[in-house]
Amino acid sequence: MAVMLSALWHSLPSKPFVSFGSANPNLKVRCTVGIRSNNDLSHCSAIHLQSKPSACDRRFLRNNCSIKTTNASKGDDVSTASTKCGETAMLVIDMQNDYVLSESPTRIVGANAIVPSVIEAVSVAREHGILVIWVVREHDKQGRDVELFRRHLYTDGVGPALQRSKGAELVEGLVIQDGDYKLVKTRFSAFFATNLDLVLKSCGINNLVVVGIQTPNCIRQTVFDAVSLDYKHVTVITDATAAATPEIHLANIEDMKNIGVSTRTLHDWCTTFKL
Amino acid sequence: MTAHLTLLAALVFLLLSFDKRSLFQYLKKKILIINLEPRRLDSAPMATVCCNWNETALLVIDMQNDFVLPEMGSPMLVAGAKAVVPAVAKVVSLARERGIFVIWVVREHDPSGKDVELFRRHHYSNGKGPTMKGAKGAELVDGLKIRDGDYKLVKTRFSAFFNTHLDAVLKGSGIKRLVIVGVQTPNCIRQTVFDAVALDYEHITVIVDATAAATPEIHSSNIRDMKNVGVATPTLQEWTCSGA
Repeated sequence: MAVMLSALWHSLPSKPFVSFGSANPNLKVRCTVGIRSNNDLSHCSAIHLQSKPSACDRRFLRNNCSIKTTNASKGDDVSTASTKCGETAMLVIDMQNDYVLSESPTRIVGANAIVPSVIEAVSVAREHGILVIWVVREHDKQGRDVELFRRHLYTDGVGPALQRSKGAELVEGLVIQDGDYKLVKTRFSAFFATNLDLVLKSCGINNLVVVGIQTPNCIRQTVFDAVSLDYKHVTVITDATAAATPEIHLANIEDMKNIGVSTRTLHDWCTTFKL
Repeated sequence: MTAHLTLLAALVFLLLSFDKRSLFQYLKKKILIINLEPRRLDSAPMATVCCNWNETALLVIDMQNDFVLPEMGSPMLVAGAKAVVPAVAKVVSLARERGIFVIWVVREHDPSGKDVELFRRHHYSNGKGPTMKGAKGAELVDGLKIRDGDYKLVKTRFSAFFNTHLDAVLKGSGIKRLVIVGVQTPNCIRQTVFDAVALDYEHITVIVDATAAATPEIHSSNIRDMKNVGVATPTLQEWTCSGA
């Protein structure tokens, strides 16, 4: 039964607000038939919130509103494709002008072609209450915070993805909205020397969906770190990620599949949602 | 005269009590040692002089029975692993000759599998599983031995740096350059290498015929990707002749 979240704060008859079992003790809900002791909302036709929920709370509520799941398609490495949206985050990695635009000397060749797919993936994620995290590189103009083998690219105050530069901005069509999260990294993996794991765990995120560039480096390192950090279900959308060549892209997709990562096309991934 | 004798006696006393062995090893480590005689290895040309060995560590990754020997019947067997055992042994031997710090990186897991990656936990049941701590499967293969002066590092994930103190050990020993051998190329080798790049190690070498994967294709595509992030990828022959 679909659950409607009331966006208006007018009261429902009689039942008290109770704290709902999330990380936020101030999240109080009620419904017409009362919250069950196991904090299950699936019996409610409508619930009412005492105050405006945060983005994390919205996701937590959706997670407990019994979104249906489907079994994985044939050939998938995991037995069920969980789409508990409240426990899922989408990492959009390095979709920045300097890495994408065809006129940039540091572009990834396959990047421009996937921009529409990334836009669609983000749109679908938002529709289903998935936390969207924009992972970007922003570097010091002297290159002091970039990998050693790239430092030669930073001279005279010029270099790829400099802080506050146009090159570091997201490409057109990708916009950070309220409720999204922006994470700055300085190495390949989004987890390397960042607070990403802390943010995800505190929002109750167990599953990750990864899009962006480039497959052999930032995508792969993030994915492998996610597996090492015991995220339950990690998905890479194969046609919303890209590398310098299709061969490099496919070889890396295969390696990630071999460690239990789900590798789906955008279309496949979208069909796993059923409300 | 008495003062001179006293001074002489003090100097003699100091000389006799001095730790000459430690001094020699310190000098050997710190001062450039020139090869005055040609050294021939498998008909290779003389090894060139390197003044960086004291800043170099060799990471020998996961050369354990369960990953290498088909007769162990382990689900974690790496098909190409057994073939590189002789090459790994050669690299270790040469590293020791050069005074390179040898670090044995191994997996050792709890029998319940609670410290292994989620996607492998199903391999651990009834007190059995790959590379369990204390089990034969976790031992180094025949021909590879830890010696005094080597270091053993236990890891529980792909990268030797992940949740370990490896970086502290290396930095504390003044290590800036890494040479990597072992298995398997797309996982533990590659993750260790990429983390080493991320941690700003100045020079990273993967010896291509002393590392292995399930198939040659997987191996070479991963070697290519590592080369693309500035990693050196010589053969054993090339590394033997080089100063890197």
